[in-house]
Amino acid sequence: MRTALIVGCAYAWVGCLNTGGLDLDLSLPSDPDLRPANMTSVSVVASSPTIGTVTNTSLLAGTTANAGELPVGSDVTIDVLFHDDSNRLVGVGEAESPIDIVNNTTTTLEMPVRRPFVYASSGTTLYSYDPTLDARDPKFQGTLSGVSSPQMAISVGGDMLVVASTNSLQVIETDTNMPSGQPISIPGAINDAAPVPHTHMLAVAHSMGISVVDLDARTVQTAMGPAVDRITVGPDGMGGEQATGLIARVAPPAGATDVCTGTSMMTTVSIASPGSSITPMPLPDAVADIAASPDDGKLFAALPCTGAVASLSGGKLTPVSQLSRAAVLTVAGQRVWAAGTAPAMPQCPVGTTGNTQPCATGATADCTSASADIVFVSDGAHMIVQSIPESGSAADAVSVDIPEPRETIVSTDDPGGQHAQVLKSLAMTPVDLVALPGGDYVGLVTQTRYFIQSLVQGSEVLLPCLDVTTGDWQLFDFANTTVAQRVRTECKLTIGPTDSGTVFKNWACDDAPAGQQPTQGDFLPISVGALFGAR
Amino acid sequence: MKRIALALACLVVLAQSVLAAPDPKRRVIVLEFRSGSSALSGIANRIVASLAKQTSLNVLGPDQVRAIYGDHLDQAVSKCAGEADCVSRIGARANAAEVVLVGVSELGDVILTMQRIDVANHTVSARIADSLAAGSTPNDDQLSYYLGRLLPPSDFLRFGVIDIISSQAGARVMIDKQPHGTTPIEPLRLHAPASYAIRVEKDGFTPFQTRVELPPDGELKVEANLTRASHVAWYAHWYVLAIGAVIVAGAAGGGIYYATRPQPTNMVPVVVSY
Repeated sequence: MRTALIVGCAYAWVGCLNTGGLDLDLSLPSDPDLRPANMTSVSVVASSPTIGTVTNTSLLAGTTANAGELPVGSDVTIDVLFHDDSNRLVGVGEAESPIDIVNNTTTTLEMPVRRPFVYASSGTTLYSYDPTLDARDPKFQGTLSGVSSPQMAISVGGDMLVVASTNSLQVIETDTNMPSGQPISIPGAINDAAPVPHTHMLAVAHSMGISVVDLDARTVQTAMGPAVDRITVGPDGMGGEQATGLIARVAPPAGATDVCTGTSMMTTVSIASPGSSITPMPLPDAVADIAASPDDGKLFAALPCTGAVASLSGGKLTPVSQLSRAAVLTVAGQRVWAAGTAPAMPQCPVGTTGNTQPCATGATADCTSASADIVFVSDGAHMIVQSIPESGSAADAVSVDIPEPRETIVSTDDPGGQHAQVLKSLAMTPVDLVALPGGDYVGLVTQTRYFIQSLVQGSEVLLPCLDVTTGDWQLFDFANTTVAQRVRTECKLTIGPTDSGTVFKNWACDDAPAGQQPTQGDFLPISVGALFGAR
Repeated sequence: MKRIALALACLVVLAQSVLAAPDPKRRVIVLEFRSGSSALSGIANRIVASLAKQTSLNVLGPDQVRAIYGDHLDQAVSKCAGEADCVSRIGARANAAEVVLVGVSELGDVILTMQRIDVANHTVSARIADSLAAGSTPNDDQLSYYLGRLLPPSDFLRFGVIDIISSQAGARVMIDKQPHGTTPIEPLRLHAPASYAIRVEKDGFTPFQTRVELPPDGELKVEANLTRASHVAWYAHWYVLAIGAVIVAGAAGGGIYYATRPQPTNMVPVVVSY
């Protein structure tokens, strides 16, 4: 009785002082392979233009945690990040839309929380990677069933994954990884797609223009026009959202001696009312990719020929960072994440002296063409990844040169497997990029070519020409400036002509190290996406 | 049989939880590796001080490791060039479970890296890196942030022990209003540093109350002498006094509240549940 009275009084007193709060009710998948596991801490990240970004981190004990206090504010975006005891990100949640935090009411917010799965498409299969697991874990790699001809995977709010095929969209429920409903048809061949922040809508770039798709209502509004290659969505500055499309994308030159040339165009459509047609506007430079800030709509472009990342405003490009052969970029967490490549230095013969010199523009590498002149590569191509503040402050930009990759090609004529050639990369292309939530990791898919011409003595081919193409999926850790995880998804070898004098005729790609081998079959990746990720 | 199975299950769970968190009192040595940079002078010693303040780890700094390893420690660390395998061998000589290798280099900006190296497995358990403007130095909050990312959260959980001894058996023990059994009870392991309100009560006895400040890794003995409650007049009963006190306090508090009521707070508490 004594306790009851005291507790009653205490509650009454506390009730008088109650000033509101924020209750985050998180829903996790029940499937143990999808449910975040081993989390020991939770970070609640609140951000808005007025309060900035506030992060509260608390240790977990049981299934409830007090996550400190947040300032009151309106239009506050709430994210939740779960980490394990080695600080590995193991779960992510995002509020569907911004909320108001008020001081006289308790706001309850329901949020789906998922593992930050990364997806890579081959055009025929959608492969998944679970970065919360060790790369040697049998469940680290997997495939998603029930999707046909996947071109790319786009995260929509975290509870939905949309898989784009050549001309339709299939919704996947992320709590079960199962398809939901029938595919939604798109009136053209899909080239790219981007989610509209805080909605279940997508802007889709395709061969017939731009379509705005409402996934809940299953409606498609299309603005017709020329083929749009890339698309991004951000605020239009007037309270709405707009999609910006890139027309006539110019891919960065793959080879060191390839020429980079071309001009691109852009177009914009309103998400609320896309209209019936698009109006292309010329850009002053070749553009490989565009991305809009989800916070303020600021546009950025990758300039492959100029070798820069530039802000794009009023049709004018202003470089914010030098990036050789800038290929892909995205914007997340008030930073621009971009990837380009430093070209290789291939060597070409000097007459018939047997000496070599750096090749001139236009030189080619080919095992069967007599006119091909590249002999070998002295300095391999390598990837450069950058993190640039949206404000363009060069002092806060981080640029990391990832060491050049090498592939070992082993002679299978030697039962000991001790005769091998180590090839340097002739050409490298970052195909796609996604920034994972939390701002520490960037997922990349690349295609790389390695080459060495045959070794000839007199008229005999002692060692044949080797021409190799590899596909790679990489998870780059910006906090440690290292490649945290890598899977060599494919290694395709072409062996040049041999003759009776050839010592070693048969060659094969050496196995990738354990944890880097594709366990679900070889494939050449064409896109990458991630749950809650920005691409 | 069911009981045995339950006990085994409990043991498995306990074993897993023990495996999940490393020993919070393990020996950790902090070494410094510089790559042609003189920036961030004394950073390793500051990290040692921060770890000693925030954790229960047995932390040794470069000077203490040098006393164990010899004067050629810096040369050996430099020769390792950050290789986990090599650094682990230095850690093993110092009988450490882990090495925190602090790297300082300059690439325009000053690059500060920290690696947590598991000595037994010769592997890197965690890494962090930050780019600092030339001339700037991370403050204590930044260092704490780095260490919070480098080491498991369990390292920052510190405990102390409160041993409550009551003169009466069967008395209820409440700590911060939460029941903790009846006397006699085993010493209680609680988070520290923290302040705890202790109440020991038994019907027919005057409750014992006190508040203690529990230091990390400290042990406090609380002797609760319960004395029999004497007969009291009606107006001296606790509930009569409590009701009277509530009325008086309510009136006074209400007056004070309305006279000096604060502006609504700009912060709200956040609760996460799943």
